[in-house]
Amino acid sequence: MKSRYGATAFAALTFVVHATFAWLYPMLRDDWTALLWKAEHADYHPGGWALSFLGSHFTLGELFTYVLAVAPLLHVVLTPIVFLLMIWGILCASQRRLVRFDTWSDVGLLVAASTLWWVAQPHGGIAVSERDMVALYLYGTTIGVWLYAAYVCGWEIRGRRTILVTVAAFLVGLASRQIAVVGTVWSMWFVLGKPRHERLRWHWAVAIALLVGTIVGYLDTPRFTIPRSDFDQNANFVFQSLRENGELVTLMMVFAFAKLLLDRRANVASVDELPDTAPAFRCLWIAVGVEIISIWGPRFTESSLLPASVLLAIGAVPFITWLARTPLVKKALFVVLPMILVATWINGLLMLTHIHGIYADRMDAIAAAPRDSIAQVPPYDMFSTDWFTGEDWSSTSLRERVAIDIFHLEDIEYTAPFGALERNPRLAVEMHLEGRPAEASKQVPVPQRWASNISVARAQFERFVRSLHRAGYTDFSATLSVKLENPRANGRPLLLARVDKGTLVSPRVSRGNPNVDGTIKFKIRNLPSAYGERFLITAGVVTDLPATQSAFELQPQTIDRHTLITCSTVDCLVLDSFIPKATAPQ
Amino acid sequence: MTNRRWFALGLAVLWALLFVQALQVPVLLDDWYQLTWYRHHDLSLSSVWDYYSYNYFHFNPRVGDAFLMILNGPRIIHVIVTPIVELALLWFAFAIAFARWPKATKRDMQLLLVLQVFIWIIVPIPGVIYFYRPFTTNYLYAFATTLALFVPYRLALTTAIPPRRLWLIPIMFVVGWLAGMSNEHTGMTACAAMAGFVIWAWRTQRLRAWMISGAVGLFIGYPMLLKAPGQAERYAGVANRMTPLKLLKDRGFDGCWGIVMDFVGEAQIGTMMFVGGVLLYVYARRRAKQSLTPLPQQTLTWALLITLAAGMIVCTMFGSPTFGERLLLASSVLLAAVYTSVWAHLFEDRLTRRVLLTACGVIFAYHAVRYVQVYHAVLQENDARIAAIKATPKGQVAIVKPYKYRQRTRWHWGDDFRYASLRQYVANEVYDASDIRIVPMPGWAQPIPEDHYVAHRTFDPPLSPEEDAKLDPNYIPTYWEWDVVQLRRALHWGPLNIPGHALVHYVVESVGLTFDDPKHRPLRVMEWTPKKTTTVDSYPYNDEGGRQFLRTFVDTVPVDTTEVYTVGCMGQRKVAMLPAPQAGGLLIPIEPGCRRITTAVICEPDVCWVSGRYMP
Repeated sequence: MKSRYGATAFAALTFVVHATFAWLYPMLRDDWTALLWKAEHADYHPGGWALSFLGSHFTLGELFTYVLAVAPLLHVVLTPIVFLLMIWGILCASQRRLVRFDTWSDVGLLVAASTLWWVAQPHGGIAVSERDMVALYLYGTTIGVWLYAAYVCGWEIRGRRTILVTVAAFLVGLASRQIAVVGTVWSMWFVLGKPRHERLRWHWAVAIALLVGTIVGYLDTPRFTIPRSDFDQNANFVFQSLRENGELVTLMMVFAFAKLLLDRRANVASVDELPDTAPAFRCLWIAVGVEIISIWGPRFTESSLLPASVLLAIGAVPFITWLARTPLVKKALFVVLPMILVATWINGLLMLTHIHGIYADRMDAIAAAPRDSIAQVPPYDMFSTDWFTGEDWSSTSLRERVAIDIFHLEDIEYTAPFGALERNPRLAVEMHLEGRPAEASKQVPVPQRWASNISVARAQFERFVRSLHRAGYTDFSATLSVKLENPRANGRPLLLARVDKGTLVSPRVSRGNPNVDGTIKFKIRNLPSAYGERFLITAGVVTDLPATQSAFELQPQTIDRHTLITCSTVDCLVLDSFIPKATAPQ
Repeated sequence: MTNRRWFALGLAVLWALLFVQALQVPVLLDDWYQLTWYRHHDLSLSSVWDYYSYNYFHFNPRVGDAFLMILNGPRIIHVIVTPIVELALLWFAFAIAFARWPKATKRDMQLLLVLQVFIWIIVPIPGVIYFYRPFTTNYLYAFATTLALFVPYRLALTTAIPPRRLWLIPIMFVVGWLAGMSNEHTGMTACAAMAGFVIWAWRTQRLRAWMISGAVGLFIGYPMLLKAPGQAERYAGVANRMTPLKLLKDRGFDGCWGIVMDFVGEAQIGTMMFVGGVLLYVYARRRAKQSLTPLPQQTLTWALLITLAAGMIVCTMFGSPTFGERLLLASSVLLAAVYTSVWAHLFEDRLTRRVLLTACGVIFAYHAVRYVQVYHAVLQENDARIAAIKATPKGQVAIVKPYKYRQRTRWHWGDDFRYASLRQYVANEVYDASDIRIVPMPGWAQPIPEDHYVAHRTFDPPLSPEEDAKLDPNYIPTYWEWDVVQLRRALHWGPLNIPGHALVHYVVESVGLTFDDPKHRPLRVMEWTPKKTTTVDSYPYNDEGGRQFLRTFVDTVPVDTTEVYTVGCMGQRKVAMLPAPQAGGLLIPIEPGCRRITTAVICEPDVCWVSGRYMP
């Protein structure tokens, strides 16, 4: 029984450390998006809110990103528990039994499983601390690993428990696409590969629920993307994943090599005692499959490799028992594995304490800034590391949206500039509204402040128009205009968007990141065909652009404000206005 | 097919690939510097000696650079010699792995295939190492020489009575010396391994004269390379400022660990494939209910020793001022030899053998196709570029196109004209143009500086103004490192080595920079006297938060600095230098303003210095 106390103590220590990680981790990227969604839907009726929420948060990742962002304490409590469940799941799947920690060797294997996962997982600190990564990968993988354990342990699941595992499988399907696709293929292969009489009902239920969940998950946009068109690029992408995950393989190989040498000297025939390599081989291949599937996006970060890391850890744990049969290797494992774990924890605590300090300074600066002013915050002082994904407000649109909608400020600026910083073009935007009944102004107030960034201002306008429509007012006209020198105006007003008795004209312009040449791709949607003239204004110089293409490229050479304008015979629309980043393409 | 035919076929395929690639190599980066030599010299023994002796005292003292000069001469030399050396590397690595030469059998052909594939997937940039002549000669030729030195020892120590072979004594001395002179990073490990071999041979009473001769050659060659005067002058004397101990201290545990993990990461694909092969073997044997054959003690022991050697070469880089993918070649080849030696035992299982050989065949074919495809395209573009520069009238700016394969990949170095200094060098030194411009100018290519440099010379006894004017070179590089090189060459080969007149003072100044100095001080780039060269040395540096700086070496910053300015498209700014983290130095902050050059200027009371350029 004492071994169970040992396991509990390790679990408690892990919980405390991971809870501290979760508490220290700042609000970042998608957390702000979740808080913005909450702010933007504050005036919805509960029914409308629920419908809107389900429409945009039906995958596991979206759901939990929102929940963890609006309830940070839940992240502190729930995420460490989920992590511990994942490690326990790895252990059970690798041992092919429900590990109850009846022996000290089970406790040792628990520590080993935890360490091996950390070795395999690139940017592991982010994978267990950043809310959107946790929601997208950790939670889904943990459910998935227990389903995998249920399969390989040969558990018989009947009655109500079948419903439970079916729901769990559906949730795995709604998790990240890597987990969903690999899980579905694996479960189908498992069921169909078994003789008919060995197939259990829950095997089918889980396989079908996974398939359904995966299909539903793919309804979320973007659906299929292959962001890299070139075979080499895709191959490099997979190789990069193999490199990131493969450190575990190298570590195990070094120990195995040492064991073989020592056993050979002692005339011990250790190769005959090798555990069954088929599961390890299978895990290796599925892990590679996960890495290949990652090519199809839509999103790839090191955390996307979490399912692959779990599989590699499942494959590696049985070899720990084999390695430990050689006394000297056992001693080395006893020292090295806990040392790696403790070093990782200490490193994480130091790093996140530092980051949390900067985050706290930023929040203090924002809290101290008067309403409707521009807050000055310090930038984070590091790029992406194992523990932190780097500055998240370098994009002007997110920065301004957060400033206006969450903190009721005009904008947020940095105390020190940095190369990747996108500066706000600072456009003066205003709205002219005609035909709105007086009672509507109470029901749907005009935004107190218009953003000085095109995409944010346009989104504000569209939201305002939608709110009026939702309230039943359609018989009005509005224009969102911008004060900007337009040498080709010829008396035409310069607008960002307009609505006329229910007809909204608000083009959608997506601006990509600069490629290695510094070229930026633009895509334009929702632009009426009447707009047949298109040009670029940079530092007062006008350059004509092809007017008919919905996709085109620009290669900015300066960091002056670049404004793209399109005109019809009646008015002109600003398509985009931006200041290119000062960093050069690599 | 018979065993011999299999072997011959495999060998022919590999040689044909290497031959085609040797025909396809473009003129790239360091190759241009060799073309300058051939503009003024022929290829002869005396010109090779002139070139190498200058390099030994003033530039790159490795013998690989002399090989590079030779390979850039008549094309036939490269086409014949390089494929042979590349094949020799494979042969030597095989001999190190198996303690025997490859036999003309199908099995050995298979093992050579596996070894070549492991080398190509473990080496981070195989295409660049094999087909970019400066790397081929400085690293591949170099390591082939080192392996050539060790093969006789490896073969001899597997026999009870090694052959005496007196004729080997001078050969081993020369090979040992060449191996010592080949590379700074591998030499340390080579010396340690050589000491181990010799002591082992002596203790087991197998020591032979040729073994001592090879060791003596190595132990003379390596110190000669490390202590070569050129080391102190190369890369603008960076070795003087960055001593191994200082670098070790600056890097700390994290930096050194990072180097180890870089190698582990680069080797990871090979390691995964190796482990996958072993798992497959165990699985296949157990499925067929056959026992697993334990690895022989000898294989394990040698695998350990070779791995330790690979690791030691990596560790040598802890104290090296440069660390790059090219330096991992030697360790990668050794690791590939270890993996192949273990896999050879897995080949007893038919299923394993077939699967692994199929995988290796596919990987080999993929590499072969990509090599030929990429270099075919690159050579065409390179030829077009050279034709465009040649066709440019004297003194005009040559216009060239950017390369399609502009990025550095595992296949190809990329577009070398991204460097503005190289464009200027090639235009003026290799051809008669004034500069080279890439049109359309891509974002990744360095912009051209707005200023130009002028030089002032003082001789003792002085020259008349007319005589002095005759010494003007056709251009002064607008990059101070190249000013130093130009001066050194002019002093060595002329025209500044004038009998009866000694150059006592040489100053390069910047003209045309939009720097508004209220005190109208001279804006100096470099000052030379026979005793001292004065410059302010810095390099672009982005900190972890992405902020941009010029990081200066403290010992080059004037002691009585009064002001520091940055001059660029954001105008002229007076800035304060900040202490640099970790490796020390001082930081000059650069305001991210545009994608053009920002120049830093440090002023003393009576003179200002161009102190670096930030080129985004």
